[in-house]
Amino acid sequence: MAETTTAPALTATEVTMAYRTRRGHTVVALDRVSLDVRRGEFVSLIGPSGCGKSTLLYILGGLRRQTSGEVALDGQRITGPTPRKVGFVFQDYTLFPWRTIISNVEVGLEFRGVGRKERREHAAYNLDLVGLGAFANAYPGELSGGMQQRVAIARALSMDPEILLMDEPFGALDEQTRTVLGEELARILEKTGKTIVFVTHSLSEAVFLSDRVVVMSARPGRIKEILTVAEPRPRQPAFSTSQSFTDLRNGLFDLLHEEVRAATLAEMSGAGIGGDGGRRG
Amino acid sequence: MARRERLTVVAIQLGLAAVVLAVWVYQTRAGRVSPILLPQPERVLDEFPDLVRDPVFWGSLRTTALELAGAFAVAAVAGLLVGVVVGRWAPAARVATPLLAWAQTVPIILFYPICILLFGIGPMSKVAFGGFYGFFPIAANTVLALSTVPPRYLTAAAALGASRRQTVTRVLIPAARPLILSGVRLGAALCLIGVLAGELLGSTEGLGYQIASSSGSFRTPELYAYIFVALVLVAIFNLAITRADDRNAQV
Repeated sequence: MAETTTAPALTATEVTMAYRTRRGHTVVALDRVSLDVRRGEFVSLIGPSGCGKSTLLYILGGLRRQTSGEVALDGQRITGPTPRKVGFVFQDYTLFPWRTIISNVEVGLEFRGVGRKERREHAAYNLDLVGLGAFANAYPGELSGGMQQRVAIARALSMDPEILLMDEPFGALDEQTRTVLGEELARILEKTGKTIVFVTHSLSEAVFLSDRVVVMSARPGRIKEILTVAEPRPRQPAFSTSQSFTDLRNGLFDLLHEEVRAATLAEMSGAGIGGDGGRRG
Repeated sequence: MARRERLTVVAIQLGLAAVVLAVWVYQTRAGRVSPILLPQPERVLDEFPDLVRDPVFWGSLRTTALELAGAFAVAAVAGLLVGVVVGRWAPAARVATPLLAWAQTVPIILFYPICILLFGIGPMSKVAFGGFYGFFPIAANTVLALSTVPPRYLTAAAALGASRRQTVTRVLIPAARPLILSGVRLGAALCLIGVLAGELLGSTEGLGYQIASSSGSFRTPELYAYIFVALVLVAIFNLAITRADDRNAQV
């Protein structure tokens, strides 16, 4: 299931993102970033806060326009959201609180104009896939944060996209919940065979889930190094206590540590113009 | 459990009403209060058969109800219209928000004499004044509701392929609805105050006018009867607004 073909599904070529802050400074969030994501591959983006990893994800999804460079999906330039091919799972809770869970999961199909019966079936299938079929008629406010993010995953999956872009989907959850959800995600993804780009702050999460981990540098965001995780998929919980896991995690820690240090020092001296637009890493 | 709690609450409320009534009966029986200030309860009760037979009473009730409906229509339509236009355009929202908030602290009753000059002493001035009174909270809440819809909902809608129209009807409006409805509820209450105060201060018909005139001629039992009728009308109106809200919220 998890085999990756050589043809890239998603490509970023020399993507640069610069913007002006309110005080008139120009901030370069991304500096000529090039990346190929192959079909079926799981790629994590990791880096210090403000390195532009979320920005890159938004650009890949067509939700934000880059200043220069190009992003393409199956060789076609991306200029806006392509909900048929690219699904999004956001960091914040973006379920619509006035809709029931099932109606949240089917909302994308509703926007697409799919008939009521068909979209409901499709939504129910995906809700079962994330293990929340019993909550179809609940409202988002009645669910825990972890459950809401699983619903958000079902919502993205129900659009049946080829590619899933995930922006720290478990960022707001506690360590245990996020470990379990990571395992869940690994299980779901094996079933669906999607291509994933995953932004995270968690080293363990990145190593556990990814085929490749892209380490980004402190602002201006550049790709510092790409780590390959050779462990076969689907990943088992036992992997997270193995020696190879620990070695990979430690390697990642060393790579990141310098960057986080640089980013923090820059923020403290004010040279990084922290605070303006820095939140979206 | 919840049911029992509710029963207890209702029982206590009825008990309080009974206490008020008992004090009323006791004080008026003992003759400690002048009947011109506070008539005996049964004297007030006696007024109702007369009222029901009196075409003036029905005319007054009709006038006030129509003024109220008109005022609410003016407030809701104008408030929502202005609110939507201003709320969807960020610079306008920044200009209008403090003005609308400030307008709600102004004693708008000061403008009532101008209303009379403009629209005369008849029902039109009450519709205009009540509508003007109710307009501000509706407009202010609509602006606030639309300009504070969390951007993440709009981003999610874009990622899920919502068209412009779908973004407005399926995301923006439902997200803003609770705050808009609370503005409408507030506006409705102010329409009521506006209409009744307008009638009390200067008019030739309506419940407010009857209240003022029976007070002026010391027909105290009739005064109390009219006040009671006005309260019932207010209760019905508020119930209607709340019901409409609840139905909308269920969508």
